[in-house]
Amino acid sequence: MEARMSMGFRVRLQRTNGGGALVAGLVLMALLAALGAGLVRLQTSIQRRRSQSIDAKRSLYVSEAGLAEALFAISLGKSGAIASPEIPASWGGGVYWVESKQDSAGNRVLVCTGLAGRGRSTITTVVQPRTNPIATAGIGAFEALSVGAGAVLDGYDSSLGSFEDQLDTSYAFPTTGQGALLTCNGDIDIEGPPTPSADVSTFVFGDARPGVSGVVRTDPGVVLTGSSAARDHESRATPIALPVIDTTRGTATLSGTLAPGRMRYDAIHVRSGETLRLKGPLTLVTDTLDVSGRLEVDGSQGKVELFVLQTLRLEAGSELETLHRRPQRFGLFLGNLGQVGSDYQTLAGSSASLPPAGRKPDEALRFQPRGTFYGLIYAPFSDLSLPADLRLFGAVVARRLTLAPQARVSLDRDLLSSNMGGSALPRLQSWRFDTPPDTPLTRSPIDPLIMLRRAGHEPLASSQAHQEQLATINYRDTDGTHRTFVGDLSELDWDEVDAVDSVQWNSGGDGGLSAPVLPVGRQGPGNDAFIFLVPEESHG
Amino acid sequence: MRVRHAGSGFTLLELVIALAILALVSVNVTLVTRTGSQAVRSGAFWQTLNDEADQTLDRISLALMASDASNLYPIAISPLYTNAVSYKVSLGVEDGQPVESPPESISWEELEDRGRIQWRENPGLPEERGVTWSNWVPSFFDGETFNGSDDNGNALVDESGLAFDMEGDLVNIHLTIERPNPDGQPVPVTRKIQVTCRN
Repeated sequence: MEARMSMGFRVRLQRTNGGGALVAGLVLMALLAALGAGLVRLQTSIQRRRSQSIDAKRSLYVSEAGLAEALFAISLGKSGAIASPEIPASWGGGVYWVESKQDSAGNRVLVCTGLAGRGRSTITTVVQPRTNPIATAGIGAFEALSVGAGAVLDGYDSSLGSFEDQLDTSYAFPTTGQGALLTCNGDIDIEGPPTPSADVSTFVFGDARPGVSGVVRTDPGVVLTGSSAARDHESRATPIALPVIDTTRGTATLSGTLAPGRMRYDAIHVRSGETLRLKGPLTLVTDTLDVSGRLEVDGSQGKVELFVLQTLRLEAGSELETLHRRPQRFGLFLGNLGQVGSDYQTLAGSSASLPPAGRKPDEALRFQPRGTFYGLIYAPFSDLSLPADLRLFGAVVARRLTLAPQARVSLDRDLLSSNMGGSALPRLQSWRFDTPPDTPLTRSPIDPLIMLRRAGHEPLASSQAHQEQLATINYRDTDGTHRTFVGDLSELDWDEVDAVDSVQWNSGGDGGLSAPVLPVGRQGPGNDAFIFLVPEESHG
Repeated sequence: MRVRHAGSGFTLLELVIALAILALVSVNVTLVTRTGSQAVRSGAFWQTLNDEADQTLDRISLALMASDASNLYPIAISPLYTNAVSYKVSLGVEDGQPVESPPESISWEELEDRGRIQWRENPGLPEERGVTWSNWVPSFFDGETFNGSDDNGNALVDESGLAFDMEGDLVNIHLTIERPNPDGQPVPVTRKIQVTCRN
């Protein structure tokens, strides 16, 4: 620019481009950028905390799902171990594994670790593997239990051998010296010898557990070796659905051998001097069973289930003898005896359905046989007296139970985990949170699915993650032939299976087989086969 | 003769305009900054409030989840409630017998103008120890007043900021956390959850 001065001078003005606007602008932009960055950071931290909270809950749910899968495995007779920390099982966008070990009491300790996103959760449970809902009461009663003077009660485990194999020879009489279990929702009365000088004592080699507010009353001379503490819960009668058999064979006087099958009678009479043998596998339903002679039960080829609905008479002088020696092979189930007009009925479990005490006891129920009984007696509606002449191995549960003086009863503890009369499902004994184990997956905050992918591993589907995948199954086919299958049970043609005798799982690593078990199954109407629950492909 | 130095200095008009523009920009920047900081404070406040409610509820839930329903005391069935519960947690099984923890309790305790949730182990015993899980629990649940009726329609009457009611093995937990916002106004958030005692 040139400025013309009045005197003619021309001064060239330097055009300057200096200024602070740009700097100011840059500072302003920087301030705004910093403010924006701060807001973004705040929001990111909010989001991260929220997702961590959600992931923690998700991992808890994954852990519980893993435990459910382990319990399902246990109900099948497996150990409950699923997958491993290196290659876990997948479920619901997360992964889990279950470690299983057995404690000294035979319970299963399951530790399940679940991971989802950044969440980590470990739950430890203690599970009684298989608990028969009926036999778990042992020698039990719902209202009152009394033991006569001179009775001897003990226990053994038929899966370990015979009673004689488990005797404690330090005693002067044959006994195992342990293992009895008396339970009652009310009081337990144990009578001692009639006079102090009498050389006979009453022995209970085990526990006598009364109800929540019950007591154990013992006379002098009673030897009770176990606990007499009251239980913290009441036993409830377990409902049992009667087999559906449409046609009845009416009233019959039988002798000889009743062949295996499914039958219903209105009444069965066995005359004095005659013998009727029930040969398993047999399901027999009758309104009346009247035995004056001898009743034999042969469960060696399959179990025998006898349902008596209205009247049971085994008079004094009659005989009841089981030819097999496994109590799991015979179940005697008594209905609501004396209830007139009942046809098919459910051996219902609620106390509200129990008839008033003392209703026609003498007419509807007389149980005075002599002999040897291996099995389970379940009489939730009845006041049952066990005579001294009947040597019982197994379990007996009644509304009121009286063991006659000099009675001899040995509880078979293997029945407590059997499926006789009811599915032996796992029973939860303890559940608690635990500290996640120190593994690469739990240490890392990264999503476990991403970590596994980086390592080149794929998590397993839950159904394929059980430690035991192969098994040896003994079963009876629809032609009645006993067969054995070895391999993956999903490859067995289940249409040809009529009943499962036992399953032994291959535990994988050491190649060893588990003890034979009869998995929990469903007994379909019109079919006495156990329908084995084959694990399906689960979501994950 | 006067020499005029063109280019140095500003005219008054230029200064006034520049100042006006500067003021406008400053005001806008200040407004944006203040709005931003208010939003940050508000967001942080809400996040803190929700976090505290969630965290407190999670702590209560996890404690009761591991407890034994038969050991819960007292038992309150809707419309009754209890603002304190005693329980025991399972620690495992030893020699076939369940092992339980020492007694624990979760209770609402009154402070000056509000209440707090206090967890205690061995309450009332010399070896008692406790942790405060929240200091911002009001005397009454959000929407509830002391009038003998269920004002907020949750089937409980006059329940406090922390309330428990039971249905067998299920425990319903009702929680209100109330804190003053940056403007000093009390703001409540409520949570409700139903948990099952696993033991």
